[in-house]
Amino acid sequence: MEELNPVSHEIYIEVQQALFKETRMLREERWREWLETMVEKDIVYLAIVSQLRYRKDNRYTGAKDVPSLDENWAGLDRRVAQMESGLQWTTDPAERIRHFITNLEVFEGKNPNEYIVYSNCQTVRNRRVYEEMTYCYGRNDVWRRCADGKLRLCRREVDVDERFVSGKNHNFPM
Amino acid sequence: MVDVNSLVDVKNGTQAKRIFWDADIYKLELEQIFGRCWLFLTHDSIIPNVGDFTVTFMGEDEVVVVRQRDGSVKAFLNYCTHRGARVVNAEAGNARGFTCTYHGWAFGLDGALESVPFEKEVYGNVLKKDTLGMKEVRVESYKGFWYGNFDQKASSLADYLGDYRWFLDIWMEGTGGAELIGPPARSILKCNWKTPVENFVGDAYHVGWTHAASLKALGGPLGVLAGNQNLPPEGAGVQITSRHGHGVGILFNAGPALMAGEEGAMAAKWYAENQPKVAKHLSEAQAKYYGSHFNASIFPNNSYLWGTNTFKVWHPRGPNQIEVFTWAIVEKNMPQELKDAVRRSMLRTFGTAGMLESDDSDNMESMTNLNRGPHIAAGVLNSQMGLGNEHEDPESGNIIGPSAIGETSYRGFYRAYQEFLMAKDWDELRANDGKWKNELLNR
Ligand code: FES
Ligand SMILES: [Fe+2]
Repeated sequence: MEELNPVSHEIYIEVQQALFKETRMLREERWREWLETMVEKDIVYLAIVSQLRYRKDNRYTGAKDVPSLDENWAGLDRRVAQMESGLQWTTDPAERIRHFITNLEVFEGKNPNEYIVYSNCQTVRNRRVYEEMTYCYGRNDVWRRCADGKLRLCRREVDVDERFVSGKNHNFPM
Repeated sequence: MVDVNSLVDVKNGTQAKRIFWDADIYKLELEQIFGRCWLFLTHDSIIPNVGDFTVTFMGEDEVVVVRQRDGSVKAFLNYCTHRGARVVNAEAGNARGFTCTYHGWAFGLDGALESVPFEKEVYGNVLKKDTLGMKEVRVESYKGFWYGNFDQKASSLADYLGDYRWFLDIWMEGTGGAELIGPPARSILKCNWKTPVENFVGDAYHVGWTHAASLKALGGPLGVLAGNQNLPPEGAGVQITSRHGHGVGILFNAGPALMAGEEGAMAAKWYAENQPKVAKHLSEAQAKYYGSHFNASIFPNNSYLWGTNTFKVWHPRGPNQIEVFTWAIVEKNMPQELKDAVRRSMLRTFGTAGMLESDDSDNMESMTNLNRGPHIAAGVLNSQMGLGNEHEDPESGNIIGPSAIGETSYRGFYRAYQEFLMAKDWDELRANDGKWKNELLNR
């Protein structure tokens, strides 16, 4: 793996604050604001589960990645529109989602205005009376410094640890 | 003892609610249905090469499906004949054989027990190696789709699919075949296995309501149903049920389904271009259905949507839990760009983070779990919509309900369900071949 250059303490804190702000915005169901102010138009938003393979098996030709999410901006926009429709009964009463974001590492990106951001997430999602679901995954993000000086997300690859979806589905902000 | 007769009233279109909850009924289902029906295993596209294998379930039994040296396919129960440990721990791969992790008994691709560590020294000649191969399960394929059956006396897969093949061929064969995009996503839902199967086999009624928000957001040909703003007009679709309970609901010319904009246009173009080919390759009558949206289940637990292009198996895990395997499914000859668009649309709608998938599972779980209350469980389920409207389909030989929305395929599914629970063997099932339509057509 190529060496990555860590960013300054100042930028590290700035990225950390952006992640915290993002998760609060999503928790408060400000999905449209999130999409419009924190997400770049060329966003690639992936969540990938891995099929279990033997370590030494290099002959099998089938794909190993099992995508749960493979979205672009338009797709995220449709997901937000679903929530805005006023018809989404599965989140009425509302779900409650809390992200715990740790192990944050921030590096200089491939492009001069971009940062590579690694983190671990544990997300607890509550819905209905009895459903409390916990998800554990890593996030490999790319955040971009835009012309207005603000940081926006331009790539997120959620690396899901569980092989099966234990908590019903991945249809929540991961 | 389960009084099977009391579970389904075919003529009246009702079922006892306890079929979603009762442990004794579930046990009977594992024996009489999962023990005797053809169960989906895999597709040629997942195990193309010699030594390719994949692990799945038949009912609650874990099986390994393996491409053999002669190109054929075999399936084995995934346990070791020594002390019963699991033999294959990966989900898929390519192997030259399988070695048990416990004491190292080694099995060939054909399941034969090939070697036993220190055999001479520790067993002498006690061990009858040729009787200790992995336990084999009967398999057959239709158009590249492999199914397994625990019952040697079961009719062939082709006969089991029967006249329903007329509808399968439209997409399995019409433009040169279909393929699954693997590996499958896997998820656990706390619902009875029949709740998704019945929904996929014959529920166009819920689409506009359960999925109102998703449809409104996504647009495409199905989008007009959002919030029950529109009832599909007369002649907009049909429902089909067949000999062994397989069924399909069809919404004409809604093939691009929930793909809007450029992607929807790309799908619409593909269907339009290929319709004449389907007519030539199969028949005019079948081509009429090509480019439509299909919601369908193959009895007992294999469902698919054509247009929203998902292919699913709902594996039972006790009476009130299932594990869902989900693939995207495409026509082999679609251009790569369209395959990608179809795959992304499937993930957005019916994948493990799918907008519509999560709508459905909420209903399925509550339909199941409320039955913990004995007074709730004592009730009946109603599937009377369109009762008395169906007739024989002269084109395909199945039973057809002549409207887009109705519960014909529900009634057909549960007719077969009851028949399997009652019949003592496949000879008895085959004896019903000539009369299965009578109850449904009330004659
Ligand atoms: S249990 Fe498999 S070798 Fe003993
Ligand atoms: Fe649905």
